[in-house]
Amino acid sequence: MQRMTDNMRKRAGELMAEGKADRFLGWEKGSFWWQSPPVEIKEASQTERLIWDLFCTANLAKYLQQMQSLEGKTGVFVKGCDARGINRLVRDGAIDRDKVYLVGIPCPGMIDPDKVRELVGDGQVTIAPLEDGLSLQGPLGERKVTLDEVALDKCLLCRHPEPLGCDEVLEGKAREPFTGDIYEEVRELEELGSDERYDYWAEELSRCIRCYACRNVCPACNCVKCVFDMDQPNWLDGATNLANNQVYQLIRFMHVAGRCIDCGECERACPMGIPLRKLAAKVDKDVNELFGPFEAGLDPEEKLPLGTFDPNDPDSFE
Amino acid sequence: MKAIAKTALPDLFAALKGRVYVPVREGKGYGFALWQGQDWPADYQNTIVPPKQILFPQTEDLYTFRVEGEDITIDPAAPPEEPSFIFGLRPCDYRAIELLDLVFRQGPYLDASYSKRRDNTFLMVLGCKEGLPTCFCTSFGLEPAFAPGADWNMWDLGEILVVEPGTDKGKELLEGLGLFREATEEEKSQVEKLREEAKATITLHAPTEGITELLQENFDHPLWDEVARKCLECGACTYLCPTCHCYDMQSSSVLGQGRRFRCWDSCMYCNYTLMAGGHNPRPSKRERVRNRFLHKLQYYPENQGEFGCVGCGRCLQHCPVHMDISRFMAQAKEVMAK
Repeated sequence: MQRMTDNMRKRAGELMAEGKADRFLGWEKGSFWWQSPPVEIKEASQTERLIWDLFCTANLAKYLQQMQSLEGKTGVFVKGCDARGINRLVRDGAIDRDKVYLVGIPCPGMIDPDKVRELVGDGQVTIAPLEDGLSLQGPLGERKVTLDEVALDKCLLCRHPEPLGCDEVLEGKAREPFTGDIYEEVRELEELGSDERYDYWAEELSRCIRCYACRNVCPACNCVKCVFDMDQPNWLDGATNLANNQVYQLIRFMHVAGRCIDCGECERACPMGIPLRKLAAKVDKDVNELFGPFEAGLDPEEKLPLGTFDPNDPDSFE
Repeated sequence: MKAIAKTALPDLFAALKGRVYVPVREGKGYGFALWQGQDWPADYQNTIVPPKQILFPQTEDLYTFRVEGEDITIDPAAPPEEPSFIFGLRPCDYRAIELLDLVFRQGPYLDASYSKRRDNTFLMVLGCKEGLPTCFCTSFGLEPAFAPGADWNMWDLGEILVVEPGTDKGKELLEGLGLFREATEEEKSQVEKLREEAKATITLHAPTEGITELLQENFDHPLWDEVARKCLECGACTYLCPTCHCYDMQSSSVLGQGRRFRCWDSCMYCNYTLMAGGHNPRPSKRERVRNRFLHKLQYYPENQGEFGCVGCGRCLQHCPVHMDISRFMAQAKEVMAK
């Protein structure tokens, strides 16, 4: 971890000195052990703020859209999912690839703080790397675990921990890509009867407070003006109730169909603990079944399944 | 001071005449819900959504209307007459309700709906034994295990719950319920100890001294650009904040029937200050983020004489990019010019 941090700081400094990037996006240490929020480095003297640890979860792709209007190039450190988010935004024409410089970081997977809290408690927690895992120390004692035991669910299912489409990739070891069935949880839900499934989602979505954290953190939500922010016409009023919450969530997930990269940011950002990745996975599974195998964000030139007309597209409404 | 065995709490809840709200497991944390005979998690921490939602619901009908030919019928909606009891709110959330009172119940304009609910709601505060790492209530002069002015203050001594009424209403209710016995001297001293020990568990500190004046003088400081650049402009911090109280009024109608309602709104949203005609006095994220911080640390003190933050830590905990108001305050003190 420390070696990667050192490399990032060094490389950001060099690239800024060489004029290849005018600023850099990465992560810095936050106020607590489980927080490594995004940071923007504006000059070489600030590169010491950059860090790399197992909490650099925030997807940085989202920031590039707002930075398009800035002069010059923005350097970005990217994990596998950040890179896919950026490739996607490039594909949509939402960001100009020539205005970004991508430095890839082979990703070992990120930690789910809740899984750590369950094992060692919260407060004073330290996480130290071991040869074959991690040593967690907290108020409830010490535990030795493998990274997978405390990794975010989305990382366990990650098929592309190696960042794709970068200008350069720093030396490091990525986790083994997942090759199994990524739709296992969706299949379980699909097997329920329609009433049971409705009840499941009704209970989950009734908690939604419509803070829009899921939308604002999503690298596939790149509309300049979101339909839910329009007031003339006001497509969806501000009342929080099950019907409105369902409209919001279902429209949003249908809208990112074929563009979602499963970075899991929606679920992480949701304060209400709604299992949003399951909705995303269902839509993704349908896209794959209807339009053929497809993974978003692997290539900035990719043909989008819902953005490309094919006379053989299924068109039934069964 | 009175005492009750915790095993007798269902009897207490059943004896309270009205709706009883208790902490429950919700999502990945806790919330408040109506007591319907369920056990309550005694070790619950700060709820994700604060209890302000009971006094100031996220969506609340103002009136319903119906149009038939030339006739229009309007039915005003009214908050329930039935009293409510919030059992186990934390001292920070109690203090936040006092701050909401300053907005909704002070001055010439009384918010009728909020006031009615507030008058009908009995607040039973449970002192915190231990703060969360994100708690910084002591920075705003609060005590984690005591809320001056609450109807009841309660302390959890393991098997026993000790209660001290803080209002006439609280005293009357306590005496009217036959479920309590006098607390022993030993229990009273345990409460004192708990209160002292709780203070020491609050480890996060926000520098409040002089912050209002500093911010007054630095309205256009470049620090606001940095803060704004990082913010994703969602409304999680505002909706989970126990003192945020902004709302919008909207209506919806279908086939001649409809309703006028109010619903929470957030100063982080682009439409919040959008005016008829299209002008927006807070055109970008910078102005919106600044407003949120200034409302807590400058405008509330200017208008109400109190800080608008109680240090509950919800925004630190739930911000997707870990924006931390305590850190912002420290940073402001460091980089803003006096």
